[in-house]
Amino acid sequence: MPVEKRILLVDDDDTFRETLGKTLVKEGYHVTHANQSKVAKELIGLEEFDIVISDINMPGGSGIELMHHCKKVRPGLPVVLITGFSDLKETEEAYEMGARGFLPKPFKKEELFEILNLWLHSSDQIKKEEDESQDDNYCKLSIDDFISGHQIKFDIYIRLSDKKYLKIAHSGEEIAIERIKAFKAKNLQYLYMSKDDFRRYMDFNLALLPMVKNNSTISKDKKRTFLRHTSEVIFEHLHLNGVDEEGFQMAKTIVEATASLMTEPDDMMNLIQMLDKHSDHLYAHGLGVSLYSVIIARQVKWSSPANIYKVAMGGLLHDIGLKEIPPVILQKHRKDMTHEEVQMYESHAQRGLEILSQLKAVPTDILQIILQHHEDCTGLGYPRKLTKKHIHPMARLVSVADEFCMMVLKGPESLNLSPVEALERMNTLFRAKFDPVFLNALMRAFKMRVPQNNKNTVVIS
Amino acid sequence: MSKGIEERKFLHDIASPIATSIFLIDMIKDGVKDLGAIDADVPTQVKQLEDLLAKIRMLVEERREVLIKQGVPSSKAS
Repeated sequence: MPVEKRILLVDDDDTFRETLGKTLVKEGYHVTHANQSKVAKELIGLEEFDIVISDINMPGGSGIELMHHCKKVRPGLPVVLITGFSDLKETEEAYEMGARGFLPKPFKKEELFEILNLWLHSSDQIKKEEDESQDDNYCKLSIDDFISGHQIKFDIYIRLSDKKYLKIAHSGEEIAIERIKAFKAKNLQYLYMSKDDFRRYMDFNLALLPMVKNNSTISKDKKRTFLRHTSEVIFEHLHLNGVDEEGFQMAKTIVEATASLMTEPDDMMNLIQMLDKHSDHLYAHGLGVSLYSVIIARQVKWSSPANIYKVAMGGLLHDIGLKEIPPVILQKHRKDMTHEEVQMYESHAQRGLEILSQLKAVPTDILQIILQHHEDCTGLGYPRKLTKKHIHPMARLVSVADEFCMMVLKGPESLNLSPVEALERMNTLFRAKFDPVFLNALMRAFKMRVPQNNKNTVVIS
Repeated sequence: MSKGIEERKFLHDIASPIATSIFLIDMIKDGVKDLGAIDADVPTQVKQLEDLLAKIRMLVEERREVLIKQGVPSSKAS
C-alpha cells in the first residue's frame, strides 16, 4: 500500500479529475487537484509533490508547458502526461522533453498504476538503473521482433531521450506480453541492449544461421523472419561500429545465406514486404536494394554465385558512406539543401569507397558499385558524371534497385508508390537514366510489359 | 474542417467521458462487492457494463490507429 506519496493531478475536466482522484485516494495516495496549469504552477511553488499527472490540452496553458516549468523550478519531479488523443509525434515529443510516462485516454487504472509504481515505489532502484550514457553504447532491436514469455538473456532498456536509457528488464527475467503491448501502445518502436550484449547476441544469431538455414523442419516464413532480423542486427552493428574486416565477413555470411535460401522471386518479395513493415528505414533501404538487386540479376540470368553475391553486397552497403554525413543533412529533402550540403551529401559515394577500400576482403566490383551507384546513363549523375559505357554494369544494376527502393520503401523521401507505379514512373519519366536491360528486368519481375527494342543481356567481363 | 480532423476531434472529446466511465464502473464494482448484492442481477449488470465500456474503449483505439496511419493531423481546436 503506497503511503504518503503526494500526487498533483491536473486536468480541466472536473468529472474526470475527481473520479481519477478518488481512485488514487482509494489506493492510498494523497491527491491535490488543479483544474488548470496556472493553479498547478502555484501549487508546485508552495507544496512538495512526488509526481505530477497532467492533461496535455488545457485552456490557459498546456501540460507540456507545465512540464517545462517543473523542469525549471523542480528538476527531478516526474511528470506523467495524459491526453485525449496520442499520436506518434506527441508521444515522442513528450518523452524527448522528459515526460516520465504518457497515457492516452481512455486508459485503465492498471496502466496508470504501472507507471506510478515505476516512478514512485522503485524510484531509487530506477534512478540507479537510468543510465546517462552515449547513444552509441546501446544498440536497438525492433520491438516487433521481441518475443515475450521467454527468459531474456540480456538486460533490456528503453530510450527515454538523448543519451538517457532506462533498464526495464534484467537478464534472466521474463517480459510479459502485456508490457510489450503497453510499450507498443506508446509507440515505442525499439528496445535496446548494451553494445557488449548486442555483440554477444549477434554472434549467437550468426552461430544459429547455418542451423536455421539447413533445418528442413523450419518453415520458410520463420527462416525469412530470422534472416531479416539477423540482417538488421548486423546492419545496426555496421552502422555503430563502422565496417571492418570482421563486420564485412558477417554481412557476407548473411547475404550469402539469404541468396541461397531465397531462390524464388516470391521468396524475395515476401522478405521485402516484411522489411517495409518493421524495419528502420535506413536498414530497410539497404536490405531492400540488396534483395531487389538479386532479383534483377536473376531476371537477366546472371547465374554465377560470385556475381549474385557481389550485387547483393554492393546493394547492402551502397550507402555506407552516408554514415559520415551529418544527420542534420540526411534529414533534409534534397531540394531543401544548400549547395554546400548537396556537395557534402553527394560525397557519400566517394566516402563509401574510401571506407571499404581499406578492407582486403572487398572485391573491386563491389567498390565500383559503391562509387558509381549514383552515376546515370545520361552522364548527369555523380560523383564523376560517367556515361553509360563507363559505368560498371553492376553499378547500373544496383542504381535501378536503389531508385526503385527510394520510391516504394518507407523513408523520409519515399513517394510511397506501389511497385508498379514506381516502375511506370521510372520507365516513362526517367528511362534514359537507367540501363534499360535492368529496368526491364525489374518490370518483368512485377509482370509488367516491357519495351521490346532492347537487348536483354548484359555481359559481365 | 476535413472529415479526418473532425473524427480526430470527436475521438479526443469522447476520450475523457469514456475514461471517467471506466473509473466509475470500477468504483461501483468495488461498492457492489463490499455491500453484497441487493438484487442478484446487479453484479451481472455491472459486469456487462464493464465489458461494454471495454468494447467502446477498444473501438476508439482502433479508430485512432486508423487515423494515425492515415496521417490525419491534430485539430487545433482540441
